[in-house]
Amino acid sequence: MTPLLRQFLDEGRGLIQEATRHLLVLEREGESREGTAIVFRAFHTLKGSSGLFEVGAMTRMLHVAEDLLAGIREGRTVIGAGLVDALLACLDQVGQWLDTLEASGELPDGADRDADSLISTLRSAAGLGGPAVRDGGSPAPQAGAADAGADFLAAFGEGERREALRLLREAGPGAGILAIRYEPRAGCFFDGDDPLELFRGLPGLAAFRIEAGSPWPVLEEFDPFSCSLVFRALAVGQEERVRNAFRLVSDQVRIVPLDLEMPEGPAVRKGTAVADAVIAEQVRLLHMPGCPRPEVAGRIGSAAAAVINVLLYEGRQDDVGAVEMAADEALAKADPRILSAAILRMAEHRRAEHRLAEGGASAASAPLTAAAGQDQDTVRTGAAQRVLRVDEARVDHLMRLVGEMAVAKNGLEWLVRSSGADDATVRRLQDLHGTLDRLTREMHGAVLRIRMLPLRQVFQSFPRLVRDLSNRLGKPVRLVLEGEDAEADKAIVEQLFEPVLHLVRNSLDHGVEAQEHRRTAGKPNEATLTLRGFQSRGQIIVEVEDDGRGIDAAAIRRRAVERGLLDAAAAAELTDEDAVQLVFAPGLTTAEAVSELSGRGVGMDAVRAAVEKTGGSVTVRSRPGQGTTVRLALPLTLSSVRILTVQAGGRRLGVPMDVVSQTIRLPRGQIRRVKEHEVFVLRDRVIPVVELSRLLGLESPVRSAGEDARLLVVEVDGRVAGVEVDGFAERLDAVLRPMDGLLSGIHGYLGTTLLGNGEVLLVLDLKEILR
Amino acid sequence: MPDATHPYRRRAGAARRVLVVDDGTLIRIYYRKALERSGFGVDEAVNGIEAMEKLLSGHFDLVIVDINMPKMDGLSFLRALRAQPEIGSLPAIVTSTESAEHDRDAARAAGANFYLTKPVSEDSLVLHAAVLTGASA
Amino acid sequence: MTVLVEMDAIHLKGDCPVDEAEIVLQALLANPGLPVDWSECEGLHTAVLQVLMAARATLTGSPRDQFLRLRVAAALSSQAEA
Repeated sequence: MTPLLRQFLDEGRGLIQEATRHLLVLEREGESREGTAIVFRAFHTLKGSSGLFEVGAMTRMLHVAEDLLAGIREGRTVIGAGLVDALLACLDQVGQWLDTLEASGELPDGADRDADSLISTLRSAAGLGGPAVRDGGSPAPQAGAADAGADFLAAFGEGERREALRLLREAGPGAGILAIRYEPRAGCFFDGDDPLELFRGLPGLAAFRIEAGSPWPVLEEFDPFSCSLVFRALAVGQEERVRNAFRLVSDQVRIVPLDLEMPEGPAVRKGTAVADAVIAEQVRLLHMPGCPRPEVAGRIGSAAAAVINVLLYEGRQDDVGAVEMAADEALAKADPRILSAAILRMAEHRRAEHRLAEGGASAASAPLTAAAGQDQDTVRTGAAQRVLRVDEARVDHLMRLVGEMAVAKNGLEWLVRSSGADDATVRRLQDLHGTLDRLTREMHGAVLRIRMLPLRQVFQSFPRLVRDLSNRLGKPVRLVLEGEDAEADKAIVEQLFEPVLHLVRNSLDHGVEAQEHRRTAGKPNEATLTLRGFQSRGQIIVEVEDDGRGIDAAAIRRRAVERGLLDAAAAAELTDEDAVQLVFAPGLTTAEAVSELSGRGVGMDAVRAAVEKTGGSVTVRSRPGQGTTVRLALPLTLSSVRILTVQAGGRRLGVPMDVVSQTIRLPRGQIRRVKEHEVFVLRDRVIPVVELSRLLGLESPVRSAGEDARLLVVEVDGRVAGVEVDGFAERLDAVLRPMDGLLSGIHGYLGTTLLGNGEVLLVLDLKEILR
Repeated sequence: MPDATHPYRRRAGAARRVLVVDDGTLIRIYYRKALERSGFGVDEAVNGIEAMEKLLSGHFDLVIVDINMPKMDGLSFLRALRAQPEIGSLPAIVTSTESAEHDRDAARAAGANFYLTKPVSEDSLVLHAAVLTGASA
Repeated sequence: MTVLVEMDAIHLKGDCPVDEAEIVLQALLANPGLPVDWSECEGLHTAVLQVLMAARATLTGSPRDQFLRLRVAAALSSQAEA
């Protein structure tokens, strides 16, 4: 994917969000000059940037949408729900196309058809007639026009395009960028034409080039009255005026409207690209074989000068010293490679920093980048915040390495104790181990923080969703978002969307009363739905709160008894607060009507399942007649624990690897009895053996003497023990769920984890068990 | 051995001066205008011999040289430049209308620090000159 | 008279209409390498410009005319054969 396309995709998605948000505001709060301008601008920029790619259908559709918005801006068209719907549908379509474009590099096959259909939707929503007639009566833009424009554009440099954009921003409404290619007839001078004069009189000339149409002959044979020039230009203004200026030579000129819209950012990055290229070129230069001896010093010196100048250009004075030193050495030994090696090292360092800086400049949709705020406004105001864009897999890899480091560190501790070294050495090694231990833990925390994302990622989809739901249900709803900046691990944040969506649907469907009921209850016509996020005690909390009817505890009790979830006596004993928690039980629903939206009984138990899968919990608080609050509490991080699964007492259990320093198989003969204890000797140390099944009160199998014992060598609070198990199975990274619900009273377990096959694995807390 | 002078070390505060070497008058005018507009000092030479004379008699931060010129062509000039003890470390951009890879390699073999294909847009020219002379961004 | 051949340069003065293309061409052929001073040039017909381009003439001075100074001089940059 080209960087330009990448940028288009990122910015396009940002613009879709921005336009969506402001369309919703427009619809809610009525037309405002400012709001209309923002939406217009977003469509305009989308359309303009799309012109740089072969996405004719998209450009065409956006062009029509932009025209309508211009009409609204100028008061010719009135904005209404129908038009907002059509514009939103347009944005949805563009969003889908961007996805396709990202995946396959082109629009899907039916794009033109879809564009046509949306264009007619737009037109009928705006109360305009037939599909292809534009307001001004000029023909609709051709699907290929934008692509042809991109060809025209290629002749011009970045600076010339920017100049055109600058003029466009200053120009009044109706102005566009036009690419002009004028190749006068050879005999044009005899017709009285003076092509240069046409350009002199052209307003809004942004870029101008004069080229020879064919190579010049020798001067003696040159015919001064035969024109063989080609003129290229970019002009900003009304298309009609520009065409008018060339009307007498219209057969020799091509004028293509460009709709060129380019962000202002690239200039900075272009400098970086040039710097990159210059640095790379010096390395190639230094590696070029066969440099004549007298030129070696000049070559090394000039490469050093070039690289140092790049550094000065970028304000990286700190790196200059290293390059200078390497250059001195390279000169002294007449060996260019000494310098090239230093340049490569410096470049590595420089690139790493640039990657950091670059993320901040682009409002990208790539997941990890969003830490700066997916929201365009945040990106703008938070320009100082630097964001790194990395592949998630790399962070995961880093995480695994940290985990392995922790295991290796445990091994070190064991080695120190059993090494038999003198006390001073042991103490020093222990200090070192302590440092390693602290660093490992800090690294773990630091890596976890890399993965943090703001809740905005989830919340931002809801204004649109709530609007659609509220329209469909005929219940006016005001959505309030709070705490969008609260952060949690990417995996957690991403898993929040589905449950929150369920809850929002439920609230609107069942919680919020129909309008007439709200009126009789003396409530405002418009319901309020709040999505709230915050961190609390190492958890990320998301609340979905409505001001609807609340949950009828009595109805829940009744229903639970009907369903056989509990008997009438038990149900009666439940407090209202506890009773409403039953909504999370599978198959229980209280809505009298089966609604199209939520379906029967689907939702709350699915919410619970989803939340518990990530080690979270869900609770509901109901204030009858006043509203419902559902609270999701999830861990901040999906801190996965490295686990060894073992067999003991006929069960499969998990043991966290961080307490296990090694696993050994031992001929049973080596386990001796000392008093009432079984022990074995490992590196001159006597270590007690305990049987896991016995510790857990499980039945231990009968062991034959010929069978090797399988032991986990475990260290807890400075005491080492051999824990005998029936067998070792696989090692895995698991996300631990705390022991709650039925299991909450049981000790000796760290938590549970779901295995791939859906089986629940209990993970032992060996520290507690062995203590 | 230029150990004491460190020719690749810039003299602080000096204005960036560029020598444009091209036999095409319009090209020189265009480069001069573009560079001067961006605050560079510019001098011109029409061939390699004139360029060498100018470089030896004044301070420059960059030379932009066309590959094809009468008298001394760009590559011969560049090799001669690199062999000069005093000014051999001057960064050089080679320009040519050929974008062929062999021209680029030839430029590199002659000691060019960068290669630009003509036509060179004003932006590109100024940007490369700024980067290669360490003009503040 | 708007084309003056002097010792130091060929001077273009005032407006240079189409018929002067031939005069400029002849002046350039007769004085190869002589620069063309266009600082007093106020108007340049395309045909004259084309002669300057074909001859790869050395232009000196900066025309008072804004269009020539800002647009035409820069536009010639793309004349790759120089």
